[in-house]
Amino acid sequence: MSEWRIDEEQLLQLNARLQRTDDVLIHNCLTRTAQESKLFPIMPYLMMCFFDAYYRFPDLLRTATARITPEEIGHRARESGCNLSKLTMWGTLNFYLNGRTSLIKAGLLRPEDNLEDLWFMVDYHHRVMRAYQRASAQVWTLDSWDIAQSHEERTLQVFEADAFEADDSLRSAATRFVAAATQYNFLVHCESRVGLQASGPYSLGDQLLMHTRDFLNMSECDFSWLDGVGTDVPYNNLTMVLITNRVGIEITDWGTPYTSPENYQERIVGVGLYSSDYLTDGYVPVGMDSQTDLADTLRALTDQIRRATRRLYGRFAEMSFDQMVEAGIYVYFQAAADAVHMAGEYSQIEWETIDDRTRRFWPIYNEEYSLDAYIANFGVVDGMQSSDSEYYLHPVSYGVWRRGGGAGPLPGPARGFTVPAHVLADHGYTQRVNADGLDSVAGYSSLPPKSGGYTFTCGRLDEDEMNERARAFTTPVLEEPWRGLDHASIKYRWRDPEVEGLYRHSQRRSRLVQGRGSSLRRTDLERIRDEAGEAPWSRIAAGAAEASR
Amino acid sequence: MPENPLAEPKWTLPESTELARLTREAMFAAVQVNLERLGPEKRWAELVNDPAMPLLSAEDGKRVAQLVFAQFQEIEGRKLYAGCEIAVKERPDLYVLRSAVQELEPRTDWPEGVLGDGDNVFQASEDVEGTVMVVREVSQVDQLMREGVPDETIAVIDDAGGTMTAPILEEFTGVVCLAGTVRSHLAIISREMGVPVLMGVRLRRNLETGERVRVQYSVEGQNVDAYFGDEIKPRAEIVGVGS
Repeated sequence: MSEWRIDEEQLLQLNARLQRTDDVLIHNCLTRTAQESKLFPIMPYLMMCFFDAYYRFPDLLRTATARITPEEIGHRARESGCNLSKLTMWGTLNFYLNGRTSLIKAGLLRPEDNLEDLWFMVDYHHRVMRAYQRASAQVWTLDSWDIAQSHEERTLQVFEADAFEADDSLRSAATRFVAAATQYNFLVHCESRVGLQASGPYSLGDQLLMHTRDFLNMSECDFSWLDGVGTDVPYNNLTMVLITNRVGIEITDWGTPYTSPENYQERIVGVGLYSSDYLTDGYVPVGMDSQTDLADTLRALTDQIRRATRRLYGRFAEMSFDQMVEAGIYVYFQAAADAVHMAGEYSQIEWETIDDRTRRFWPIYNEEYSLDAYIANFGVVDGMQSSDSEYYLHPVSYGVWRRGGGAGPLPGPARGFTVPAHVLADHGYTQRVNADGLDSVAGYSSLPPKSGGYTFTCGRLDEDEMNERARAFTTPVLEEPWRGLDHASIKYRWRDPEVEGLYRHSQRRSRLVQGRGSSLRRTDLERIRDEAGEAPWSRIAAGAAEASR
Repeated sequence: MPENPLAEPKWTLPESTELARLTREAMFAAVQVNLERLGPEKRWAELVNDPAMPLLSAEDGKRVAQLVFAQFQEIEGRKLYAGCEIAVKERPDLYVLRSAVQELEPRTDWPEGVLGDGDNVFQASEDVEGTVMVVREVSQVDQLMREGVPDETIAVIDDAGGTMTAPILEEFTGVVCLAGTVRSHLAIISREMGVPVLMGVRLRRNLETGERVRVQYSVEGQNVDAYFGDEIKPRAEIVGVGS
């Protein structure tokens, strides 16, 4: 039995974080998207995954943090495209908190219950995110007005230098790939965007922006429904680099890019493609030998993805309602899994099982009530437990009221659940939801058991091989002295041999800046491209501006 | 008598639906019955995490669901709405598809010839004329996957998700979606595919498969900040052609 106690400094910090987390949640949910789907029972799986997250995330993540720190998890996630992304990290905390909210609203939990778990989850998330977004030094994308910069200069220079100018053929191939991969990814993830991710935008001067798009979990991986369906898709994770001219880009806390104009495809001027995962040391180029090679690679991938889409559609169409709910729960629940993967502690059965405590809500959370509960928790925010004092104004809904010209009555005093300050003196609350850890947790799955492998850039592995390699994984990027070299260090220490070594390591797979070291500036990239016979981006932008006159 | 510590908050807000109210009341009632059964010597902290689920068991869950559905039917006089097809197929006693009872827009000042309007996702180079195909069932998608989508098809979909029509979406000339916003999954995917789409469409009358329409896909895309109270762009119109 834990004797953990919270002090006042921690409590105030915790409540400030809970409040900001809730405000960001409500802001993003205001325009949230598919609340119903003809194919998937979205709302039941979404609302019930929150319970599973509440009951099991803390202890599952403790198994990861026993081996690697939250900071190391964040750093590793930044250095490769893996399922630990802005969205899944957002989900790891929010799904847990949403479970807490639902249990409080059902009369089954007090806001102060399982306080140690609550502290652990909020602290874990913020530590991971601060490391992941070390460059921007912000936890929430919303706090940087939807600029989601996570990559550092040494990675961005390679992306910029090596991207190919998009002629009509490459632009068309890239556009079609993005469309097919986006659609397939929604299907793989049961109508959710969990496997889609973006980073940026990053300034390339003039009117040029660079951003990256990650397409995750596309081949045989943790999802059993991809066994034999996604097998022909050769890469589990792909990262596309897109350079655009005269396109406004914003990227939300859910990792979704929005562009203005919306049909930005004709303004793509540069494209690159990489594969990576938590077992690669950085990004591995795919089809990057030539402009033609890249276009051909993208077309081949698009065909493979389209075929997989059709096969997967058929597989889902054969599932029962309960199986589809389970699949959806598993997709959302998987948000936290890559931390455990990185630690080499992943067990398929542990993640695919639905907790008995969640199962009891199965008949209650029918299609209509699940939608009502979703709207009550994250949209209009109402219900018996949801009111603060009568003076309270919710920052998001009050903001909408103001921006709408003050039409209609003020929004009600709805608010999420912080932790009451009486916990500082009254310790009659529980510490952890599972007093005995995961040993006391019971549940089952009705999905077909996983039969395929797990796809990595290094090949397809089984569960034991995957865990073994994860435990053995090392990269000098995350070890001293390189780990401690961020932008603020490099600004004044760019001539130091350690910095030079770090940059050369990041450039080792680059076709144009290999071995160039840490003194590179963007003007050097322009010159290097010119010398290699490839148009510098400024010239491409000038040409586009000329053509548009 | 032990009392649920959450039973009487000082400040409350009403639930916005009858179903939400009934469900909350039934769950609280079930917890209260269990607390009384367990007796005053049991402390909340002993019960809240007990793996045996003494506050709300799996059996309680079933009873709550049955009670709520019975009360709901009595009050609302209908089955529950479902968004997905499989729910209705497996439990026709419980569900009816929400889209099957979609109400028409009660607007009375529709301009002559206009059949509906919606938020344009992106500005296409021109308006599009085509033949309506109402796509509502997975079996239809399966058939279209095998036989191909006819030329000039404007799909009418009541699902803002991106998966229902996944294998064939790119083959549509345009899409009219009766739900969602310009940030919905269907909008995201259609934009990437360059397939013109209107979201959140309100209809004057139901569109029928086979009728010809012209859709104003060339108007400006809806401002996403409109959902936060900013300026709303004019909605794109759907106009009947021929008949």
